[in-house]
Amino acid sequence: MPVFDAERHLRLAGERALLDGELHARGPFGSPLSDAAAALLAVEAIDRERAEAVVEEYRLAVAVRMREGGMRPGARISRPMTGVPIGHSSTVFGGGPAPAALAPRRLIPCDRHLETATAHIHVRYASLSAEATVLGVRLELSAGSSGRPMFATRAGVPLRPGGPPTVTLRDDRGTRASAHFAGAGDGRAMHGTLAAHTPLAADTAWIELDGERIELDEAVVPPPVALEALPDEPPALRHLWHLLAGNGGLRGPTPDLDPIIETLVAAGTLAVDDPALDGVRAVRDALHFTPGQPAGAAVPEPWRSLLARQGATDGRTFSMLIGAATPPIAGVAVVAVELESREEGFDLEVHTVPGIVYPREPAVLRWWAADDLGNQYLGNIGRWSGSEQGGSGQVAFWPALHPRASRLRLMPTGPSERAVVEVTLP
Amino acid sequence: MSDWWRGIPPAQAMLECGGERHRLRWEAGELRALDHGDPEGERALAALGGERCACVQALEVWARHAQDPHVLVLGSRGPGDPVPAGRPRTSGPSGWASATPRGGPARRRTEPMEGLFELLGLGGGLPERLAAGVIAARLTLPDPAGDAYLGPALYGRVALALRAWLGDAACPIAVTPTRAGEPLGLHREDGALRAELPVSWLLEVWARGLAVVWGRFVLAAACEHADRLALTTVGPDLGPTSTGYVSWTSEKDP
Repeated sequence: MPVFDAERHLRLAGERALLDGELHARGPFGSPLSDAAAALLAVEAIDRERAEAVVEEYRLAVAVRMREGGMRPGARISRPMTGVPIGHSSTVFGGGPAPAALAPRRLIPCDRHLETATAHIHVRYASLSAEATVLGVRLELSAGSSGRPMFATRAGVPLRPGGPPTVTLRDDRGTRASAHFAGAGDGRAMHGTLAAHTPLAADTAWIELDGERIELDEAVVPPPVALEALPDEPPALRHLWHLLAGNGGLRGPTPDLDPIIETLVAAGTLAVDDPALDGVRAVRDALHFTPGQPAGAAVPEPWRSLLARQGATDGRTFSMLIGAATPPIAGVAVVAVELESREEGFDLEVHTVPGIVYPREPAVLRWWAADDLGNQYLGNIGRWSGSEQGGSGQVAFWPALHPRASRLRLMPTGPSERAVVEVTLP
Repeated sequence: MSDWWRGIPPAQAMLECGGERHRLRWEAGELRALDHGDPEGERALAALGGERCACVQALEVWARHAQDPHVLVLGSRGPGDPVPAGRPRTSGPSGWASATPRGGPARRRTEPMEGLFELLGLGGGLPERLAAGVIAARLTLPDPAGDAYLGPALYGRVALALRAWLGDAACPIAVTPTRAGEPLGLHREDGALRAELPVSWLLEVWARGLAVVWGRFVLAAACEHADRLALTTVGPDLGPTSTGYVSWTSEKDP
């Protein structure tokens, strides 16, 4: 049997994708070429630099064919599973130093309503640390003269009509910082955060927002955080399960697993008749079933539990602050800020370092959760803002939180380990 | 590599140089700037700080990439895979000496490809001759059939030729590079077209523009005489192979 040459295999994948037009249609990032590269990296059949070089060569091969109409420069490949901080490096596959662990936030419930000339701001919480000052807010905007929402300072000076509002924050040391809104909504009612450009004192007794003082009382006690190794499993299978959980399982296109399996088999890291592949394929197929349809017998846990409540709408409506910080998982440190449960699912407000720059693309972290009744949940990054250095946004979980669940384990999961933030539900 | 170019016809392209249209001609393995009496002298002068004209720059870029395997990745796989003139969107300002894509890592990796994009867009058959030289160089490696570049290059060029030949742009193709003494073949299996060919097919057949001749796919081309090739071919029915002959005459410089 010939010796497997990962680079040659990757170049063949590039040739096929180029000839079949898949590199033109999808770009090398998100194509069979990048899928093969990520798989070979996951099983350590190729080194990062070599894989990057091959993908880059085929990116250029497409670019010279499209010339001025080529694909966007600087696009990124889906992150491989070998523990790379997302967006932490300018290289195609990432790489770079892992971040230091984040300290738990001082998280203070506020429930303070402020009126400005053009907006009603409901400050729900303040999140303070040495690295960041963030206010969780809901905004209700009044219409500007043009009929579009307009933001203004307290003095009524409009700022970026129709754009994100900016306010000035001040702490008890006299430090001032501007804070920009990032969030989502219907343009009139918005939900999101005001993040200070430079952090205020983490132990400040109060914060002023455009001159309105908000006293900061008792902070929430962060729940315990643990780091767990994932069950021992061959890297090839881990990679496949990880792919399936990307984009929250249901939210994005299911990856074309067969060529990836072929690559892993060719690399000698997976037997073509490995019985676990039946489970992998069963999960892939089940993710496309009609909500509520029972999963097939071959669907293993945790997917079976996850799919069992797909489409449920019996979630309780509540929100709770968490304030827990995880150690870096696969190079990404996470702060879980707030959990908000809805009828159809629940959302987790998080902050990560480094930031997740392309949340729509398969990222290195998967967002699993499990309740004390054995129900499983899977999350997908929705609203997101930030930079490569740090970002924050919302992870939307499905299915609905079970109405009788009293505890929830939130589990940002990497290729080989996961953090567990265990919260007691109200 | 002494006479690897045998049977590969000369090629010529025009280039804008100093406000005039100049000729670049490839023949017998060499690229020459026909409208420059002493390009070597001009290169020497340029090295000392003189002005470097486009033809001389093209000669330099050609020499720099004469054994560069990136040519096989970036260049055309055949008539159905045109590489237009111009610059890729990721490239920097126009010009032979500044053809470096922008961006951090891409810049690092593509700096050695300076000028290659222009070369590959020259047309006139020159890019294919550049690829032929690269293939010839890599065929001298200890195990060319196992080379990370030649195997994929063989796949891409065979697959493109087969799909065009059969008029089936989506035909699944598998290509197995053979080693010395192993049989050649082309057959259907499990709905795919499977070819067993040596990587030397790239030089002996593809580089000579002989992938499809007389409506038949060429499996091998062997030099019988100084100016005659014996072609082993197979028809679209994938029946028995047959042998045909092609000959050529050397062209004189215009």
